[in-house]
Amino acid sequence: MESDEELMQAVARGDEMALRALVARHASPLHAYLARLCGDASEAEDLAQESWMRIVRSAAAFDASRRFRSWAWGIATNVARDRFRRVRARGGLHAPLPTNLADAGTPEGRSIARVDLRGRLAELPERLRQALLLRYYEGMSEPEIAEALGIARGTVKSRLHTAVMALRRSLGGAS
Amino acid sequence: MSCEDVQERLTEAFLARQAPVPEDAAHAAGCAACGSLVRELRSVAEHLAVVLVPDLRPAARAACEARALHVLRAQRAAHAPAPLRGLGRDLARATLLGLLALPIAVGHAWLVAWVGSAVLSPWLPGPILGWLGILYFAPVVLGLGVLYGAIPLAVVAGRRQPLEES
Repeated sequence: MESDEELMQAVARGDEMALRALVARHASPLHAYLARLCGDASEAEDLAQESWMRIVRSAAAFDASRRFRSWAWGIATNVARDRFRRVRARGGLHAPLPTNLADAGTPEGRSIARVDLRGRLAELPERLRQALLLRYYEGMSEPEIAEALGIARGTVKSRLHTAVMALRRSLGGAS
Repeated sequence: MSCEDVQERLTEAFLARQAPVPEDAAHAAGCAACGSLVRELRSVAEHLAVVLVPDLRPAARAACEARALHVLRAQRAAHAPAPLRGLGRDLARATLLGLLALPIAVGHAWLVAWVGSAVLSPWLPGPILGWLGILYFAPVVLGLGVLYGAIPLAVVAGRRQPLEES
Protein backbone atom coordinates (compact mmCIF):
# COMPACT_ATOMS: atom_id res chain seq x y z
CA MET A 1 0.00 0.00 0.00
CA GLU A 2 1.30 3.41 -0.93
CA SER A 3 2.17 5.83 1.84
CA ASP A 4 0.26 9.07 2.32
CA GLU A 5 3.29 10.99 1.15
CA GLU A 6 3.53 8.94 -2.08
CA LEU A 7 -0.17 9.46 -2.70
CA MET A 8 0.19 13.20 -2.14
CA GLN A 9 3.02 13.33 -4.67
CA ALA A 10 0.78 11.52 -7.11
CA VAL A 11 -1.97 14.08 -6.43
CA ALA A 12 0.53 16.81 -7.26
CA ARG A 13 0.92 15.10 -10.65
CA GLY A 14 -2.84 15.15 -11.11
CA ASP A 15 -3.64 11.55 -10.10
CA GLU A 16 -7.35 11.30 -9.21
CA MET A 17 -7.12 7.78 -7.78
CA ALA A 18 -4.46 8.94 -5.35
CA LEU A 19 -6.69 11.80 -4.24
CA ARG A 20 -9.63 9.43 -3.74
CA ALA A 21 -7.41 7.15 -1.65
CA LEU A 22 -6.24 10.05 0.52
CA VAL A 23 -9.79 11.28 1.08
CA ALA A 24 -10.91 7.74 1.95
CA ARG A 25 -8.12 7.44 4.51
CA HIS A 26 -8.28 10.84 6.11
CA ALA A 27 -11.70 12.42 5.59
CA SER A 28 -13.12 11.14 8.89
CA PRO A 29 -10.12 11.89 11.13
CA LEU A 30 -9.76 15.35 9.60
CA HIS A 31 -13.44 16.04 10.17
CA ALA A 32 -13.19 14.82 13.77
CA TYR A 33 -10.27 17.15 14.38
CA LEU A 34 -12.10 20.11 12.89
CA ALA A 35 -15.26 19.28 14.84
CA ARG A 36 -13.34 19.34 18.09
CA LEU A 37 -11.51 22.47 17.04
CA CYS A 38 -14.54 24.50 16.04
CA GLY A 39 -17.01 22.74 18.27
CA ASP A 40 -19.64 22.19 15.62
CA ALA A 41 -19.85 18.99 13.63
CA SER A 42 -21.81 20.44 10.73
CA GLU A 43 -19.58 23.48 10.44
CA ALA A 44 -16.67 21.04 10.54
CA GLU A 45 -18.09 19.44 7.39
CA ASP A 46 -17.83 22.76 5.58
CA LEU A 47 -14.35 23.28 6.96
CA ALA A 48 -13.35 19.78 5.87
CA GLN A 49 -14.49 20.43 2.32
CA GLU A 50 -12.61 23.73 2.23
CA SER A 51 -9.56 22.01 3.71
CA TRP A 52 -9.52 19.29 1.04
CA MET A 53 -9.80 21.91 -1.67
CA ARG A 54 -6.92 23.83 -0.17
CA ILE A 55 -4.87 20.63 0.20
CA VAL A 56 -5.24 19.97 -3.53
CA ARG A 57 -4.45 23.59 -4.40
CA SER A 58 -1.27 23.35 -2.32
CA ALA A 59 -0.31 19.92 -3.64
CA ALA A 60 2.53 21.26 -5.77
CA ALA A 61 4.10 22.77 -2.66
CA PHE A 62 4.00 19.49 -0.70
CA ASP A 63 7.45 18.45 0.46
CA ALA A 64 7.64 14.65 0.49
CA SER A 65 10.15 14.75 3.33
CA ARG A 66 7.33 16.01 5.56
CA ARG A 67 4.55 13.84 6.94
CA PHE A 68 1.31 14.25 5.02
CA ARG A 69 -0.74 14.26 8.18
CA SER A 70 0.99 17.16 9.89
CA TRP A 71 1.03 19.12 6.62
CA ALA A 72 -2.66 18.52 5.88
CA TRP A 73 -3.77 19.10 9.47
CA GLY A 74 -1.80 22.35 9.40
CA ILE A 75 -3.76 23.43 6.33
CA ALA A 76 -7.03 22.47 8.04
CA THR A 77 -6.01 24.45 11.11
CA ASN A 78 -5.42 27.50 8.91
CA VAL A 79 -8.82 27.04 7.26
CA ALA A 80 -10.47 26.92 10.69
CA ARG A 81 -8.43 29.91 11.88
CA ASP A 82 -9.59 31.93 8.89
CA ARG A 83 -13.19 30.98 9.70
CA PHE A 84 -12.76 32.02 13.35
CA ARG A 85 -11.36 35.37 12.21
CA ARG A 86 -14.36 35.94 9.98
CA VAL A 87 -16.69 35.01 12.85
CA ARG A 88 -14.91 37.46 15.16
CA ALA A 89 -14.98 40.14 12.49
CA ARG A 90 -18.75 39.71 12.28
CA GLY A 91 -19.00 40.41 16.00
CA GLY A 92 -18.62 36.97 17.61
CA LEU A 93 -16.26 37.06 20.59
CA HIS A 94 -15.34 33.39 20.64
CA ALA A 95 -15.20 30.44 18.37
CA PRO A 96 -18.72 29.00 18.16
CA LEU A 97 -19.55 26.73 21.05
CA PRO A 98 -20.41 23.16 20.18
CA THR A 99 -24.06 22.59 19.63
CA ASN A 100 -24.31 19.55 17.44
CA LEU A 101 -22.14 17.11 19.34
CA ALA A 102 -25.00 16.25 21.64
CA ASP A 103 -26.66 14.60 18.64
CA ALA A 104 -24.19 11.75 18.79
CA GLY A 105 -26.78 9.60 20.48
CA THR A 106 -25.16 8.84 23.79
CA PRO A 107 -26.71 8.36 27.24
CA GLU A 108 -27.98 11.48 28.95
CA GLY A 109 -25.36 11.41 31.68
CA ARG A 110 -22.54 11.48 29.17
CA SER A 111 -24.28 14.24 27.27
CA ILE A 112 -24.20 16.42 30.35
CA ALA A 113 -20.51 15.77 30.86
CA ARG A 114 -19.93 16.49 27.21
CA VAL A 115 -21.74 19.81 27.41
CA ASP A 116 -19.61 20.73 30.41
CA LEU A 117 -16.43 19.79 28.64
CA ARG A 118 -17.40 21.46 25.39
CA GLY A 119 -17.54 24.63 27.40
CA ARG A 120 -14.18 23.93 28.96
CA LEU A 121 -12.52 23.09 25.66
CA ALA A 122 -14.07 26.11 24.03
CA GLU A 123 -12.82 28.27 26.89
CA LEU A 124 -9.26 27.37 26.02
CA PRO A 125 -7.61 29.99 23.83
CA GLU A 126 -7.55 28.85 20.21
CA ARG A 127 -3.77 28.36 20.08
CA LEU A 128 -3.83 26.13 23.17
CA ARG A 129 -6.81 24.15 21.89
CA GLN A 130 -5.09 23.48 18.56
CA ALA A 131 -1.94 22.14 20.24
CA LEU A 132 -3.89 20.03 22.73
CA LEU A 133 -6.15 18.47 20.07
CA LEU A 134 -3.23 17.63 17.80
CA ARG A 135 -1.30 16.00 20.65
CA TYR A 136 -4.05 14.32 22.62
CA TYR A 137 -6.57 13.23 19.99
CA GLU A 138 -4.46 13.14 16.84
CA GLY A 139 -1.43 11.59 18.53
CA MET A 140 1.03 13.89 16.80
CA SER A 141 4.49 14.34 18.23
CA GLU A 142 5.72 17.76 19.29
CA PRO A 143 7.87 18.20 16.14
CA GLU A 144 4.85 17.30 13.99
CA ILE A 145 2.66 19.80 15.81
CA ALA A 146 5.37 22.42 15.42
CA GLU A 147 5.39 21.70 11.69
CA ALA A 148 1.60 21.74 11.42
CA LEU A 149 1.16 25.00 13.30
CA GLY A 150 4.33 26.65 11.99
CA ILE A 151 5.71 27.33 15.45
CA ALA A 152 8.84 26.35 17.39
CA ARG A 153 8.95 23.03 19.20
CA GLY A 154 9.53 24.81 22.50
CA THR A 155 6.37 26.83 21.91
CA VAL A 156 4.42 23.61 21.34
CA LYS A 157 5.66 22.20 24.63
CA SER A 158 4.78 25.38 26.45
CA ARG A 159 1.29 25.56 24.89
CA LEU A 160 0.59 21.93 25.76
CA HIS A 161 1.55 22.40 29.36
CA THR A 162 -0.43 25.63 29.59
CA ALA A 163 -3.47 23.89 28.08
CA VAL A 164 -3.24 20.99 30.54
CA MET A 165 -2.82 23.41 33.41
CA ALA A 166 -5.84 25.42 32.24
CA LEU A 167 -7.99 22.29 32.04
CA ARG A 168 -6.85 21.15 35.48
CA ARG A 169 -7.75 24.55 36.89
CA SER A 170 -11.01 24.57 35.04
CA LEU A 171 -11.93 21.19 36.48
CA GLY A 172 -11.14 22.50 39.93
CA GLY A 173 -7.86 20.70 40.50
CA ALA A 174 -4.70 22.66 39.98
CA SER A 175 -3.78 25.33 42.45
CA MET B 1 14.29 11.71 40.98
CA SER B 2 12.78 15.15 41.66
CA CYS B 3 9.04 15.78 41.79
CA GLU B 4 9.45 18.31 38.98
CA ASP B 5 10.90 15.66 36.66
CA VAL B 6 8.22 13.15 37.63
CA GLN B 7 5.43 15.66 37.04
CA GLU B 8 6.92 16.53 33.66
CA ARG B 9 6.90 12.85 32.68
CA LEU B 10 3.42 12.30 34.10
CA THR B 11 2.09 15.16 31.98
CA GLU B 12 3.90 13.84 28.89
CA ALA B 13 2.42 10.39 29.48
CA PHE B 14 -1.06 11.90 29.85
CA LEU B 15 -0.71 13.85 26.58
CA ALA B 16 0.50 10.70 24.81
CA ARG B 17 -2.45 8.80 26.33
CA GLN B 18 -0.09 6.32 27.91
CA ALA B 19 0.15 4.95 31.43
CA PRO B 20 2.94 6.45 33.56
CA VAL B 21 6.11 4.38 33.77
CA PRO B 22 6.10 2.15 36.87
CA GLU B 23 8.81 4.22 38.63
CA ASP B 24 6.78 7.41 38.28
CA ALA B 25 3.58 5.66 39.31
CA ALA B 26 5.34 4.29 42.39
CA HIS B 27 6.69 7.73 43.22
CA ALA B 28 3.26 9.33 42.78
CA ALA B 29 1.73 6.73 45.11
CA GLY B 30 3.90 7.96 47.93
CA CYS B 31 4.07 11.68 47.10
CA ALA B 32 1.19 14.02 47.87
CA ALA B 33 1.94 16.58 45.13
CA CYS B 34 2.58 14.05 42.37
CA GLY B 35 -0.34 11.89 43.49
CA SER B 36 -2.60 14.92 43.30
CA LEU B 37 -1.38 15.63 39.76
CA VAL B 38 -2.12 12.04 38.73
CA ARG B 39 -5.68 12.34 40.03
CA GLU B 40 -6.21 15.66 38.27
CA LEU B 41 -4.84 14.33 35.00
CA ARG B 42 -7.09 11.30 35.32
CA SER B 43 -10.04 13.61 35.80
CA VAL B 44 -9.10 15.65 32.72
CA ALA B 45 -8.64 12.43 30.71
CA GLU B 46 -12.10 11.21 31.76
CA HIS B 47 -13.63 14.45 30.58
CA LEU B 48 -11.70 14.49 27.32
CA ALA B 49 -12.80 10.91 26.67
CA VAL B 50 -16.44 11.95 26.36
CA VAL B 51 -15.87 14.59 23.73
CA LEU B 52 -17.49 12.49 21.05
CA VAL B 53 -17.67 13.54 17.45
CA PRO B 54 -20.40 12.27 15.14
CA ASP B 55 -19.11 10.31 12.17
CA LEU B 56 -18.65 12.19 8.97
CA ARG B 57 -21.86 11.73 6.99
CA PRO B 58 -21.39 9.79 3.73
CA ALA B 59 -22.85 12.73 1.80
CA ALA B 60 -20.33 15.07 3.40
CA ARG B 61 -17.50 12.66 2.63
CA ALA B 62 -18.65 12.48 -0.97
CA ALA B 63 -18.79 16.28 -1.09
CA CYS B 64 -15.21 16.49 0.19
CA GLU B 65 -14.07 14.12 -2.55
CA ALA B 66 -16.11 15.81 -5.27
CA ARG B 67 -14.87 19.32 -4.45
CA ALA B 68 -11.27 18.17 -4.15
CA LEU B 69 -11.52 16.36 -7.49
CA HIS B 70 -13.06 19.46 -9.04
CA VAL B 71 -10.08 21.54 -7.94
CA LEU B 72 -7.66 18.86 -9.16
CA ARG B 73 -9.29 18.73 -12.61
CA ALA B 74 -9.36 22.51 -12.87
CA GLN B 75 -5.66 22.65 -11.99
CA ARG B 76 -4.84 19.95 -14.52
CA ALA B 77 -6.76 21.76 -17.23
CA ALA B 78 -5.06 25.06 -16.41
CA HIS B 79 -1.57 23.57 -16.51
CA ALA B 80 -1.96 21.32 -19.54
CA PRO B 81 -0.67 23.06 -22.69
CA ALA B 82 -3.11 23.16 -25.58
CA PRO B 83 -2.09 20.14 -27.67
CA LEU B 84 -1.90 21.92 -30.98
CA ARG B 85 -0.77 25.32 -29.77
CA GLY B 86 2.62 26.02 -31.39
CA LEU B 87 2.79 22.61 -33.04
CA GLY B 88 2.82 24.05 -36.57
CA ARG B 89 5.62 26.42 -35.64
CA ASP B 90 7.64 23.60 -34.09
CA LEU B 91 7.13 21.42 -37.17
CA ALA B 92 8.14 24.24 -39.55
CA ARG B 93 11.27 24.93 -37.50
CA ALA B 94 12.24 21.25 -37.48
CA THR B 95 11.53 20.89 -41.22
CA LEU B 96 13.71 23.90 -42.06
CA LEU B 97 16.48 22.39 -40.01
CA GLY B 98 16.02 19.11 -41.87
CA LEU B 99 16.09 20.91 -45.24
CA LEU B 100 19.61 22.08 -44.48
CA ALA B 101 20.68 18.47 -44.81
CA LEU B 102 19.09 18.13 -48.24
CA PRO B 103 21.73 19.98 -50.38
CA ILE B 104 24.51 18.22 -48.49
CA ALA B 105 23.01 14.80 -49.14
CA VAL B 106 22.19 15.56 -52.80
CA GLY B 107 25.59 17.16 -53.43
CA HIS B 108 27.36 14.22 -51.88
CA ALA B 109 25.35 11.77 -53.96
CA TRP B 110 26.01 13.69 -57.15
CA LEU B 111 29.75 13.85 -56.42
CA VAL B 112 29.95 10.12 -55.75
CA ALA B 113 27.93 9.32 -58.87
CA TRP B 114 29.98 11.63 -61.07
CA VAL B 115 33.39 10.51 -59.79
CA GLY B 116 32.31 6.86 -59.70
CA SER B 117 31.03 6.85 -63.26
CA ALA B 118 34.11 8.75 -64.48
CA VAL B 119 36.49 6.30 -62.84
CA LEU B 120 34.61 3.08 -63.47
CA SER B 121 33.13 3.64 -66.96
CA PRO B 122 36.25 2.48 -68.85
CA TRP B 123 36.09 -0.90 -67.11
CA LEU B 124 32.44 -1.60 -66.43
CA PRO B 125 29.55 -1.90 -68.87
CA GLY B 126 26.71 0.63 -68.68
CA PRO B 127 24.00 -1.67 -67.10
CA ILE B 128 26.29 -2.64 -64.23
CA LEU B 129 27.16 1.01 -63.62
CA GLY B 130 23.43 1.75 -63.60
CA TRP B 131 22.77 -0.95 -61.00
CA LEU B 132 25.65 0.30 -58.85
CA GLY B 133 24.13 3.79 -59.04
CA ILE B 134 20.76 2.44 -57.92
CA LEU B 135 22.41 0.53 -55.05
CA TYR B 136 24.03 3.77 -53.92
CA PHE B 137 21.12 6.15 -54.40
CA ALA B 138 18.52 3.89 -52.79
CA PRO B 139 20.03 4.17 -49.28
CA VAL B 140 20.48 7.94 -49.78
CA VAL B 141 16.79 8.33 -50.60
CA LEU B 142 15.80 6.05 -47.73
CA GLY B 143 18.02 8.01 -45.35
CA LEU B 144 16.41 11.29 -46.38
CA GLY B 145 12.97 9.73 -45.94
CA VAL B 146 13.85 8.56 -42.44
CA LEU B 147 15.25 12.01 -41.64
CA TYR B 148 12.08 13.85 -42.62
CA GLY B 149 9.84 11.16 -41.14
CA ALA B 150 11.59 11.60 -37.82
CA ILE B 151 10.88 15.32 -37.68
CA PRO B 152 7.32 15.05 -36.29
CA LEU B 153 8.46 12.35 -33.86
CA ALA B 154 11.26 14.59 -32.60
CA VAL B 155 8.84 17.49 -32.18
CA VAL B 156 6.34 15.36 -30.26
CA ALA B 157 9.08 13.93 -28.03
CA GLY B 158 10.35 17.44 -27.35
CA ARG B 159 6.89 18.62 -26.35
CA ARG B 160 6.14 15.55 -24.24
CA GLN B 161 9.12 15.93 -21.91
CA PRO B 162 8.06 19.28 -20.41
CA LEU B 163 4.52 17.92 -20.07
CA GLU B 164 5.74 14.97 -18.01
CA GLU B 165 7.91 17.20 -15.85
CA SER B 166 5.05 19.62 -15.11
